[in-house]
Amino acid sequence: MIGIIDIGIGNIPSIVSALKKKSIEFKICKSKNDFNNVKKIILPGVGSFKTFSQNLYNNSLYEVLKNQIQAGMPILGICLGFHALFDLSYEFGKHQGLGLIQGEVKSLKTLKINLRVPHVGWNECFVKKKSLLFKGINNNKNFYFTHSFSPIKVKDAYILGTTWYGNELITAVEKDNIYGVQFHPEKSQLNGLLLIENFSKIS
Amino acid sequence: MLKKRIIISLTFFDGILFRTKKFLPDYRYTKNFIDLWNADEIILIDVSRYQDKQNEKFIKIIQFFIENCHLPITVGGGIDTIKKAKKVFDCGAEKIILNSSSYSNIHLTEKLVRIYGSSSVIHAVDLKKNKNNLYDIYIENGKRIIEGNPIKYIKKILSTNTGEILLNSIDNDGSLLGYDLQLINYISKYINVPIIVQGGGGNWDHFYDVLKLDNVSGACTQNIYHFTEKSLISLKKFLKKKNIKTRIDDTNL
Repeated sequence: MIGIIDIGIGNIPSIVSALKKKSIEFKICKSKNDFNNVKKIILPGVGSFKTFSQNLYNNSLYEVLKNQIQAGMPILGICLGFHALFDLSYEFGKHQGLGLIQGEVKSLKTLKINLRVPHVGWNECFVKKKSLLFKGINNNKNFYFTHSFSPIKVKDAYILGTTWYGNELITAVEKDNIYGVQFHPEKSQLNGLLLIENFSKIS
Repeated sequence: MLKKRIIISLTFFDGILFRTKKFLPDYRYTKNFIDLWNADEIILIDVSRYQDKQNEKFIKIIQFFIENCHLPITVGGGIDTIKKAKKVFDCGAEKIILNSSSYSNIHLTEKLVRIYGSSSVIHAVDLKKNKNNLYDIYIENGKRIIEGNPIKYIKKILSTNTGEILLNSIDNDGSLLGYDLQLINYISKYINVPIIVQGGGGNWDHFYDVLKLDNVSGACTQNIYHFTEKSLISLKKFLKKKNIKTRIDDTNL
C-alpha cells in the first residue's frame, strides 16, 4: 500500500486518479497515525517550500517521514516533494528540508538561465543510469514540468536524470530507497503513469 | 528542449460547455469528445457568477477532468478569495488563472503566489484595440475597461511574481482569423515570464505564425471542432514539418 502524504496544499486528487488508473492500492496520510500498512510513500507537492515545510512540521509528519525513510521505506518525492528531499531551500527565505539527500534548492534565476522563469511545459528527462523507476521509458520522453526552483550541489552518484532548460537541471534523483522527480508524473500521461507504476513495483 | 504547448481552453456556464464569443451552449460536443491524449494542457473557465459560493456544477467538471486526463489542468473564472482558490487546488488543479480580482485586490494575487508558488498562478490579461490603434485592458469578461497605461498595469501584475501570463485578444476571440500578432509583439517584450496566447486560432497556419515567436510558450484553442481525435495530432505533425517542436512522439497515436 502506498501512503500519499497530504499536508493540506498538495495536489492529492491527481495522484489519486493516477494510482486508480493503474489499480495501485493507496491511502492518504495526514498525520503520524495514518501509516498503518503503508509500505511506500509518495510525497507530492504544489505550493511554495515555506508553506510546505511549515505544514510538514505542524502536522507532525516530519519526524515520522524521516524515520520511516531512514528505516528503508521507498519514497517518491514529486516537484516540491522532490525539493523537500534535500537539506535546504531558498524559496521565500531559507528553509530546512528533510535532509535525505545532500543538496540545496535555489531559484532558477540564480542558475544563469537565459530563459523565462518558471520553467513550464513538456520537456525531456535524460536518464543517466539504469533505474527501476524509468523501466520501459526511453530517454527522449517528455514530462510535464512547472517550477521556479531547482536543486544544486547534488552528488553525481545520486543524479538519475537531467533536463536541459538553458542549463542542465537536475530533475531526477535516486539514493537507495529515495527517489525524486522534478516533473509531475501524475500529469504526464502515459510515461508519467508508467513511472508511477514502476515505483509501485519497487520493493 | 522545452516544447511549445497546444492548450485546449473550455468555457462553462452553469456547468454547460459554451462556445465563446456568441456564448451559445454547445450540446453537440460533450467533454467526452475532447482528445485528451494529444492536448498538452487543458484550461477550464467558469463564466457563471455566483455571489459568494462556488459553482458546484463547475467543481464537478474539474473533478471529471482530473480523474480522466492525467494532464495539467488549469482553472479560472471568478476566483476572488483564498477559499475559492483552495477549493480548486484541492480538486487537483495544477494552476489557477486570476484576472479581474487583481484589479481590486492585488494582495490576493500576492498571497496566492506565496501559498501555492509562483508557477501555480497564471494571470490573464484581456486586451482590445481602441480607435487610436492602441490597446486597452479589460476586466470582468470584457465588460469593464481599465483606465491608464496597459504596460503599467501589466508590470503591476508581474510584481506579484505570477508565473505565467495568458494574453487574450478580445477582438480576435472566436474570429478564427488568427492570433493578434501585433498585440503579442507589442506586449510580450515587457513580460519576463512564459506567455500563452488566446483568441483567433482558426487554421494550422495561425498556430505556426504564433508559436514560431520566441516569446510565446503556448497557444490556446477554444473552438471544439478543432479537437476531434485526429485534429490535434495532425496540427502537431504540421508544426513538426515546420520545425516547431511540440510534444508529439510519445503519445500513443
